[in-house]
Amino acid sequence: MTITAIGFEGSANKIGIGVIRDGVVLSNPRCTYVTPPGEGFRPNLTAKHHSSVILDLLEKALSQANIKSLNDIDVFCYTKGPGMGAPLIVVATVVRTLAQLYDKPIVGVNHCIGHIEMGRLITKAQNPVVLYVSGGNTQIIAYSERRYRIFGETIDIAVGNCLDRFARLLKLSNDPSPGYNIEQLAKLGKNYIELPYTVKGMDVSFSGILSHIKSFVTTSKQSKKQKQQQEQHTNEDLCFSLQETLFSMLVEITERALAHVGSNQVLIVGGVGCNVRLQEMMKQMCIERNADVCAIDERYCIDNGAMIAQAGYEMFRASTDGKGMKLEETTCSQRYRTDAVNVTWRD
Amino acid sequence: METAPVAYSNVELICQGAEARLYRCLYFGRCSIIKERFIKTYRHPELDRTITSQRLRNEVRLLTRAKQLGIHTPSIYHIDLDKRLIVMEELVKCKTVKQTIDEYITNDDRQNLEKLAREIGHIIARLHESQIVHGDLTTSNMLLIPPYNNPEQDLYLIDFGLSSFVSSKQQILENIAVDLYVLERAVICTHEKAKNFFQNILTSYRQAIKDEKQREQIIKKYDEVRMRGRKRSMVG
Repeated sequence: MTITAIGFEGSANKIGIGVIRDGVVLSNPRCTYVTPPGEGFRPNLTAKHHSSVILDLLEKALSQANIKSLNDIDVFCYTKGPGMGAPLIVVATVVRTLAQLYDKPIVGVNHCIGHIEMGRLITKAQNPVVLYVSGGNTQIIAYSERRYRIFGETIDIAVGNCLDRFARLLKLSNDPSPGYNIEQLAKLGKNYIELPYTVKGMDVSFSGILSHIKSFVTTSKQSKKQKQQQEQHTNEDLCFSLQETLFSMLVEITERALAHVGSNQVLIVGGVGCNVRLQEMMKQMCIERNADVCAIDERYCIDNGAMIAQAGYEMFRASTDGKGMKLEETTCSQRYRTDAVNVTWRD
Repeated sequence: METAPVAYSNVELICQGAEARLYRCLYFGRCSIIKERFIKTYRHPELDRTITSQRLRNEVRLLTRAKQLGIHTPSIYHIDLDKRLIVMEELVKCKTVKQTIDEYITNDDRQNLEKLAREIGHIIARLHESQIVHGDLTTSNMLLIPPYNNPEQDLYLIDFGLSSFVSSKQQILENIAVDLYVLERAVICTHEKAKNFFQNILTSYRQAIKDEKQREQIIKKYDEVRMRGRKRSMVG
């Protein structure tokens, strides 16, 4: 039996709707809420953005997938969490309404699991160690006994958050994303500036690096004397050194996890996963220990609807009654850990 | 005429860990392990040099310091910063605590599990009381030598590359708390079936910390660190 699943994602500043039929992506359009340089995205404004575009995006997703009516969809999937509250609720409300209008089952998906399942689908990786790196998450994950277990994670801010906040300080553009613009500047950097390097077992910490590198950036608030005392570095060198340091830490904990669980496959998912320098470093590490890297491009690395559809499809298929979740269970949660999900669809 | 003694002989590669290659060898006739922190080509050479030499020094310094506290650690025979390696005593026929726990679980040997947890708690308390944090507490970094079942004698702590001696009063609590948290996570992830194992470690840890005030502060900080990880909002 073929199953057509539609997935809605809007846990952060991207909103995406994707249609998947038995592992084939039929459509996956996305729309990003881009804020001016120097600014992050606020929950209420992001929610407004999502609600203003969601119906147009739905039409786009359906027409690209060549689906005439929502009656042809078998299951509606949405992001239950983790993420920002307001945007999550906007999307969930729309999906709940549609599912009831068309009398279809509904499945709430853990966002992180969405990334992992999409990565597994695209790369065909069977049982990889997963590095999940984005604006809100930094986790090193491996599957065992019906859970995606978190072996290591950040003990303060996410790696993407560190990059975003540094980009804000330099007033870099948020279009298409702050991380992308840091990556471009980093390519021109040559001099390595020493920054703090904090690895604790398989956990990492980034907040100290951020405060340290901030002290190199000149801002209008500083006095003349402060500016004179400051070490001078170009933005290019700063971006270069920041990336080198952050990514070395990530690759190091990934290698630790590989050695610890005895795996030889790495899958990188999440927005920061599109960074080519990170992919290169990971590849280099893997060559040295005879392992493989599965990386995916920005279509699937960055938050998208298809990944929610794919994870929802797996959950739906593994359920025995085929009814999806009860309506009163279709809530949202800003805090929803990867290891809280019972993975019913894998052995 | 006597021939000069050979430093290394019978060198054989055992395994490639995350950071280092381990070789078994005879060092001046003694059964030894060479731990070579090989060059990581993925990271910037300057960063690689700094990290490697830092960790080599840490390892030697803190392994020795732990030994002075009466904690069992392998003896260091030699260090070579240029070749990025240390040579240390081989713990012949040792088993990791990770393996041992699995065996105890298979045999449903609760008594030995508890005994082991208790000793682990003691050792960590002794380290922390002396302002040493291990930095990478996992059950793979704890070894048991034969006859394996008397942890007070048989339990060894290894891999001090991420360790540090924390002299600052402000930082020590945070570091200790994170050290415990890292161990908790490692135990939960690796030993799903060993119920209460970490709880038992923690109980004996608390009993072993002598200073009451310090004990309370540590536990408070540890709860704080746990909440940071478990309940931190994770967006996007």
